[in-house]
Amino acid sequence: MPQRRDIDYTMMRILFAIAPLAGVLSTVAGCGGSDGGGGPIVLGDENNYAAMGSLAIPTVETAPATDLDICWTNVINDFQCHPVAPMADVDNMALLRLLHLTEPQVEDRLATGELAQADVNGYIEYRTNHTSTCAKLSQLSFFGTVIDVASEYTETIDQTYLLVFAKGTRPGVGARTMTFIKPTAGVTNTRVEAATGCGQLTFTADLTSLTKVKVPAAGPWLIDWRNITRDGQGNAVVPTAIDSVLIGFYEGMTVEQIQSDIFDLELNATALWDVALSGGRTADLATAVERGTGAKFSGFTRSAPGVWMLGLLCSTCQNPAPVLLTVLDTNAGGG
Amino acid sequence: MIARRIWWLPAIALLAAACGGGSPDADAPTNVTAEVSATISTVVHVTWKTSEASVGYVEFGPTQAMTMRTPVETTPATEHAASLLGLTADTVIYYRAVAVDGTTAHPGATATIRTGDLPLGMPALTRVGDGHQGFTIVPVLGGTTAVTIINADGKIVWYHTDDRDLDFYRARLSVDGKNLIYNAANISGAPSAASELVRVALDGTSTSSVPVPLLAHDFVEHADGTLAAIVFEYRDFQGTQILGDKIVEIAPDGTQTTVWSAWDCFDPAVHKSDDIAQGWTFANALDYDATDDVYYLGMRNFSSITRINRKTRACEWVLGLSGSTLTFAAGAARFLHQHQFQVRGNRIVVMDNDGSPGNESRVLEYELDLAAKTATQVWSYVSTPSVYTFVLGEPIRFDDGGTFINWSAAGQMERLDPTGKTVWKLNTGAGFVFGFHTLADGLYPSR
Repeated sequence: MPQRRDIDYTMMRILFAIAPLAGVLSTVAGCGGSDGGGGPIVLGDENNYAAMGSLAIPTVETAPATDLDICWTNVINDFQCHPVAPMADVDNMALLRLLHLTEPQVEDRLATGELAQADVNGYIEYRTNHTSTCAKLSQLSFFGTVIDVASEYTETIDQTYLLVFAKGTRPGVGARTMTFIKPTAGVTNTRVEAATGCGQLTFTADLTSLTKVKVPAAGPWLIDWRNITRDGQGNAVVPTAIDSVLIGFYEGMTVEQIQSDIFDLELNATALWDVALSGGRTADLATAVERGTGAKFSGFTRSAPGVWMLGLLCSTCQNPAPVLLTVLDTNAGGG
Repeated sequence: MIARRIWWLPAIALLAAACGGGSPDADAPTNVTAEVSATISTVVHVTWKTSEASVGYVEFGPTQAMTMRTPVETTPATEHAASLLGLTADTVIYYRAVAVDGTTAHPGATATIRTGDLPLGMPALTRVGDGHQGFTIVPVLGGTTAVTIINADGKIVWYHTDDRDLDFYRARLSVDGKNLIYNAANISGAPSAASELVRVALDGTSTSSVPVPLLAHDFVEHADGTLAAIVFEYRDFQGTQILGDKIVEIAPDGTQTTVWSAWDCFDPAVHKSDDIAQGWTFANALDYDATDDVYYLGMRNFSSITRINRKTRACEWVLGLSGSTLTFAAGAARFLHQHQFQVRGNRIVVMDNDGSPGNESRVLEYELDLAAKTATQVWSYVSTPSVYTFVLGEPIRFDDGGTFINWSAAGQMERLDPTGKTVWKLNTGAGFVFGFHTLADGLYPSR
C-alpha cells in the first residue's frame, strides 16, 4: 500500500470502483427470463433460479516487508476455465488490503457479493505492459504513489492481501484470477506465481426447480420485476443495480443441459438480446437488441425447438451473476 | 447540524382532532391532484382548491396514520400546492389535503399514490440499530456521484445527480429551507476551474449554480444566505507555484469576496506542509460561528485547525502540528491529516484520519484552555471493528453527549449514545463512500 501519508484523494477514484471484483462470477452473467401475459409479465421469486457460489483462492506465503516478484505466467484460464493468454489478456494487477477479514471470510464475501466498503482499507495497482508477465510489488501504485514495502507489506493478523488479475483496467471488473499473498515471518520466498483461475470458482445453479414464466408468443412483453426480492443466491435485490435484461435462446438444448454448463451460459446461446436499463423495475422486451446483429427482438417464434431464458443483470455488482435467471414458457399463448 | 423542527405539529394535531367525521365538508379541499416529481421520484407534488381563501397543509405517510405533514401555508388562497418530502422509493403513500379555517381543520378525502424507483446506481445501504432519528444530507461518491438525503431507516428519500465530471463533497440544506446546496469540485489532483456551488430545490423544480473556480472540500452558509467556501489559491513560493487556500464569500447578489488567505497567517518558508506537491495547506474543513464571527478551518497538510477572525483575518489560535499556537497536554494523542471537526464551547472533536497506530482512524476530543494555551485530550473513539477513513470523515457531538460519526471513506456512518455505545450504524457496499454530511430533524423549514 502507499505510505499512509501519501494516500491522497486520488485514491478515492479507485476505492470507489473496487465495486469489487465484479468479474469474479461474471462467468455466469448473461442469461434471461421473463413471464407472459396480456398485461405486464410479473416476475416473482418463484420464477428465479437458485445458485450457490464459492471461491477457493490460493495463498502464497512470502517474506514480509520485502519486495516481491509477482508473475502471472501461469494464468492460462479464468474462473470459467476459458482460455487466457497471460501476456495479452491480463491488463491490470491490483492488490487489495482487507481489514478484519480472514482469507475464508474474504472468499465468502466475494462469492456472495457482501463485501462492505468498510472492509477495504487499501488499493494499489499495476497496469501491465504486455511485454512481460511479471512485475515487482514495488511497482504497484495508486496514481503514481508507490507502495512503501517495508512499512505497508507487513505480517499482520488483522489484514489480508489479495492480488487480482484482470482483463481491462476498470477496477473491480474483469477479474480472471486471484491469489492471496501473505507476509509471514521466517519465510524467505519473494516470488509469487499467480494461480490460474480455473478451479477457484465453484458455481452451481438450479434451473429446473423454478416456476417457468409464461410469455405470449406475439407480445406484448412488458416485464415487471417489482416482486423479486432475492437474487439467485438468496441475497436481497438492489433494484437500482439492475442495468440490463437479457434474453437467450438455446436451440436444441434442454434446461438441464444449460444448467450443467452454467459457466458457458452466454457461449452456449444460439442468440442473445439485451435491453439496456436506466433504472426502474420494468422493461419492454420488444426493445431488446440482438448481440452481434443489432436486430430488434422479433418474438419467441422459432422453427427449431429450444429453451428461452431471461435474466436480470447487474454489470457493476460485486457478484455479477444474474440477479434473476428464469426459463420462459413460450407456449403460453396469450397473457 | 441544521436543526429543524416541525413546529406546527401540535397545533395542527389539535385542529385535525377537532374536525371529526360527518357529512361532506363544504370547506374541505377539492380537486386534489398528486403526481410524482419528474426529477425526483421520491417527491410528490399535491395541489388542491378551496371554495374560500384559506391556508392548508397535507397529511401524508406510508400508512393510513399519515404521520407526516407539510407546513401550514402562510398566505390564504383558493389554489394550493405542497410537496411531500421524506418519502421512500416505490412506496404507496397515503395523503390528504387539509384546509384550515381559523381553528378548524377541514380534511379532504384520503388518497394514495406510489412513489417512483430510485435511479440506476444508487447504493444499497445496510442499517443496524434504530438509535438515530432524522435525516442525513450527504453526498455519495464512488459507484455513483450524487447528493442524497437518507432517513433514519437508512433509506434514500431524496437524491440529485448530474453529469459533470466533478465530485460532490459537502451537501447541506439551505437556510431558507427550500433547497439543498452542494459543492461540485475536484480535490483529486488539479482543482477544477469549472467548480460550482449548486442549489437544487427540494421539490425538484429548479436547479441553479454559482461558478466558483478552484473550489475545495467544504462550504458553509450564513444566516443571510451568504455562502463561504474554501477555495484553492496558487501563489509563487521561491519560484514555484504552490497551492494554498483561501475563504471566499459569495453574497446573495453573487458578489464574491476573498475574506481570508492562508498567507494571512502562514508562511510557506516557516510553516511546513507534509505534502506540498499535493497542496501546501490543503484546507479541507470549514465551520462558521456567527456568535463570535469566526471561521474554523482545518488544514490537512498542516495537520492543524485554526480559528480565524472574520473581520481582522487573524488566526486567533492554531491547534495541531504546523503553526500550532496551542500545546497538547502531556499524554494527549495528536491528530494527523484530520478532516472535519466540531468546536463546542471550549471543546473540539476531530476526525483523526491517520494519527492512530495501524490502519485505523479515530475521533479525538480535546478540552482547550486558551489562557494556558493547552489542549487536553478528554475522549477518543475507534469504531468496532475499526475502520480506516483515509479521506474525509466528520464527527458531530450532540447536546445530550451522543455523537454522530461519518467515517466517509469507509462507507460507514455511526451514532453513539452518550455512553459511547453504538446505537445505529449504516454501511455501504464496497465501491461507495460518503462525503461530508449535515443532519436535519426534518426536511421542512422551521419558522
